[in-house]
Amino acid sequence: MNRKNTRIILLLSAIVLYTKPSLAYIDPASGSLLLQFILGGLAALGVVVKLLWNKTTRLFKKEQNKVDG
Amino acid sequence: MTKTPKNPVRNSKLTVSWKQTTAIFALWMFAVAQPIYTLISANPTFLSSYRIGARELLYLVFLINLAIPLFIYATLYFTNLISEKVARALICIYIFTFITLFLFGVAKKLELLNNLAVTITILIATLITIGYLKIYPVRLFIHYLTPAIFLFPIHFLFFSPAKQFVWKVKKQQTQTKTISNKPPIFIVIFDEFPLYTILKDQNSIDDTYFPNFAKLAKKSYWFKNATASAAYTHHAIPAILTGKIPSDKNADTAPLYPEYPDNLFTLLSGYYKIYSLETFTSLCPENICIQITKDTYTDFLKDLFILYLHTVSPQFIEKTLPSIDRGWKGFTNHNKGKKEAELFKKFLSYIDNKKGKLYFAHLSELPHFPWNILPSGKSYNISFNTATYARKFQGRKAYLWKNRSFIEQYFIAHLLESSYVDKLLGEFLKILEQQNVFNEALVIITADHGISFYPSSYLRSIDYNTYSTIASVPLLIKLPGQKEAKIIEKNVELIDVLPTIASYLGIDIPWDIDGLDLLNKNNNGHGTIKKILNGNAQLFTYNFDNFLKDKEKYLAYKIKLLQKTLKHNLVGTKISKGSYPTSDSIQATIHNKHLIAKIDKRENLLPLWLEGELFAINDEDLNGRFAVALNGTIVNTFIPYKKGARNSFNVILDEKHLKENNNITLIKLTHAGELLIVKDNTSFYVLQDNKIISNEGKINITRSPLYRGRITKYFVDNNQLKMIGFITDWGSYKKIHTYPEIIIFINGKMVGKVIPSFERFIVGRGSLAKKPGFEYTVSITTLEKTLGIKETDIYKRDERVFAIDKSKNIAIELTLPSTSALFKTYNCTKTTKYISCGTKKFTVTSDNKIITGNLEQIETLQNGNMVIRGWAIDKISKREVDSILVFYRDKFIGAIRPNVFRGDVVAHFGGIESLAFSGFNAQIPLSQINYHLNPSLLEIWAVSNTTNRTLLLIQRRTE
Repeated sequence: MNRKNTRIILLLSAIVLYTKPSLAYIDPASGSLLLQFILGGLAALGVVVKLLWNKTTRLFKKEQNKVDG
Repeated sequence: MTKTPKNPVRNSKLTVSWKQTTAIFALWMFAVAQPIYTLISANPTFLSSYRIGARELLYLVFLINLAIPLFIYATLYFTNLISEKVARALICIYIFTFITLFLFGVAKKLELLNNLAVTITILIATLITIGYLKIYPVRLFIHYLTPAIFLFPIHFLFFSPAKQFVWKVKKQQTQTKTISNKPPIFIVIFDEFPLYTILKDQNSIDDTYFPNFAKLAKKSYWFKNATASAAYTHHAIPAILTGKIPSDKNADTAPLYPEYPDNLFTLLSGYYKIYSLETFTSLCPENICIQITKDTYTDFLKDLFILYLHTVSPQFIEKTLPSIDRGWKGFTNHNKGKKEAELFKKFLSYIDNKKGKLYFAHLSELPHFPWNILPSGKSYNISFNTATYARKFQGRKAYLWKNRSFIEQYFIAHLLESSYVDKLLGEFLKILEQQNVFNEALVIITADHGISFYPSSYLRSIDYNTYSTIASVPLLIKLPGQKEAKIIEKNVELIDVLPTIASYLGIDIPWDIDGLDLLNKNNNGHGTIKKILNGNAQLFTYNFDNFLKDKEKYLAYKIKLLQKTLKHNLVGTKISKGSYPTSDSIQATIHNKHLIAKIDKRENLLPLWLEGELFAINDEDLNGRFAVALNGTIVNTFIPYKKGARNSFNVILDEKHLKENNNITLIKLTHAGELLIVKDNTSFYVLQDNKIISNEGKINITRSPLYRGRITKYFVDNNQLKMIGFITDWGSYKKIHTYPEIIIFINGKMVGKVIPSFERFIVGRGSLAKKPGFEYTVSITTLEKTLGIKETDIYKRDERVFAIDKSKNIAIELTLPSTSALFKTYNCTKTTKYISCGTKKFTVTSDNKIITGNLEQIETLQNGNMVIRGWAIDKISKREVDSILVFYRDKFIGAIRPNVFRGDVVAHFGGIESLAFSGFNAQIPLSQINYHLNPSLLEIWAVSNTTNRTLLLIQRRTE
């Protein structure tokens, strides 16, 4: 990833995660998405780990089958 | 219920299972629950304004995290019992909806939710939904989001700012000291109520609008230089009740008892029985105060729902939602002030003559925006849509006044509601007198902050233009037994109220305060450099000496503003029929005139807010001031304002002059001091952005299958514009029972109307068929004089004609004769001797005895088209030529068929009627020609099939 892309991602993250100080009255954009993003990130990580795990175990199973066979 | 497969995540077939449902719940948490949780965590004042406590918050979590998900599950379960297919479709709908809502929320946060973003978002949501159905990792990802069901509510209740509503409760103050003197105490705090509103001059209160303030001031200390400590209520009220200057460090702190446990209520709780009407804050705990009332939980949920919709709605939907940025709550309640007045009256019913009672009322909606209460207590139809505009102020949105015209009328609205506040004060003082407690009572009347009505200034954000009007507030303190007025010019603040009460009662305040005892003669007031907390939590510093000067300047401005309107020297003048000349050039339409024409005076909502348009040939004629007379008496004045190209106005009428049947007269006040009656065109229609707006509202332009009609002839003859046509319900028998109005617009301006009234035997069978025909004639001179439409404008073909059916609120556009349009069904070539079109060949002639004609207009229009108008006849056959050919140099552009009625040509050639339709006028769309057009290189040829001749038409004065 080049520096320009990194900057854009950082900027977007800042906008999304930043909780604005409240307006004089209620600002509908004042809520934060931080928690959703953290959980979403963890879920994505979980998916990657799970898929890798499946791949690895499948590999072992194949080896096992070969040995058994 | 179907048999659940072993692993519904791995299995791509959708089934109604718990695992499947939890994935939907997880998406619900992301899309709806968490946005609501974070929104109210970021805006705790919203919760405090509803006096939300632990119980109510737990209800909310129960509702969002349990009740609604269970409902979703129930819908799936029962649908599944009926049809598995439908249940599967429902699962998809839920998944798609929640993903869309979540993505909308993200796009909104990025301020990207325009129409394109909506389309992209829906596309992405569709792809993810398909991904959920087809791709295992996507399904797995969504299932891995299920911890959100527990994590989000736990975070909300235990770790977000909302936790203060659930967990943080501090012990109240306990007093051990005894006091012998416990006079009844009455504190009434109004909201958004600046001092200058009630002033007649620097040293007296306007007793015309504020007789009760004036009356109370005669027996009170009036601190005429008192200032508020904050521009917004959630800071200002805690400052008054704690005696402390609000800090910019904890500016987002909600006005809650747990946040401000050291306050007037807790201080006096050991000595006084406290009755509290806190309409906005929640500073007095229920075990201390008898709360008069509070909003219902349903009101809270309703507002919360509207808040949520604002977080996910695209711009075009958000526009239709109730506004949330002009108040903390009651977004759908348009009469909050009235509701509060009723509460205040209930509060007054608790007053008795027993000592040791404190009555506290803060009326957060009185006399607060949107100022829709009249001095009588009735409401009226004021609208606030376009009076202000938002601009970023120190990084956040703030509202400014758009123009002076709005300021004048909205200041009057503010004044009228403030006058109603005075009436409430009168009722309050009357109760005190009736209960025989006025004399012995300690009475404090003030307001939390003011508002600005300066041109181009913020309404509530503090800068050097507005600080004096927002900071300066009324402060009247009547001590027990006080009989005389005392005007105090000291530099005092509202934070001084608490120490003054404590000092009078002889109670020590067990916390640090910034306020001073106002009754202590040794106290010389606060320092010259003062501070006020802005809405954005920044302290604004100002100099007290400058404040005094600015305050004076502002009062002079307000007095002048009233002298131009309600106190104008013409107000009260009688206007009778014929007493003043009528303006030649100005016409008006009052959009809501029908509301006031006949009314029931007993109604609680009166139509006193007039909105309309003014029309004049020259906009300069509309400069300056207009007056409005209600039933023959001038009641107010106004200045029009520009709304796009239109000249609009708003004006408030005087309730006193209202009758059952009312008439309105608008009067132009000329610079020479003359009064001119403005002609009121009551059925005026305005064509704007392809919409028709009548004085009764918007009319939809539609293609109704009920109607058939068109304009068959449209021409100018003998300085008269004539239009002949028909409208009928041909083919839809007897469905139409009223004849529509035919409205004619030229250049976007309405020039006239006509009702179908004569027979057209060729027109068919519907119930209108008896008299479907209409004819409209108007003098070109009149058009030019009244609307500035010249004869050449008529040929620009910018006319539009509509049949308007008021009963159905629809307008049907009628087509105009279209054969003058440029067409190119064949190609022509030109040499110096001939013009050839297909198989036909026309010899070029210059003999006016064979073909003659005139090119009367050739002009480039603003819309980029070129208008060509004229006439041409074949003298041999004694009729119009067959075609008008348009060439650009040698390139053929198109042909026009003459079809326009030309009575003048008929007359010129001795009454030969066959020449009647020898005229032509058409527009050449230059964009279609594809090259820059030089009008001087255009050639217009008239061709005749009878003589096979063609003549080059040139512009000349007459034949």
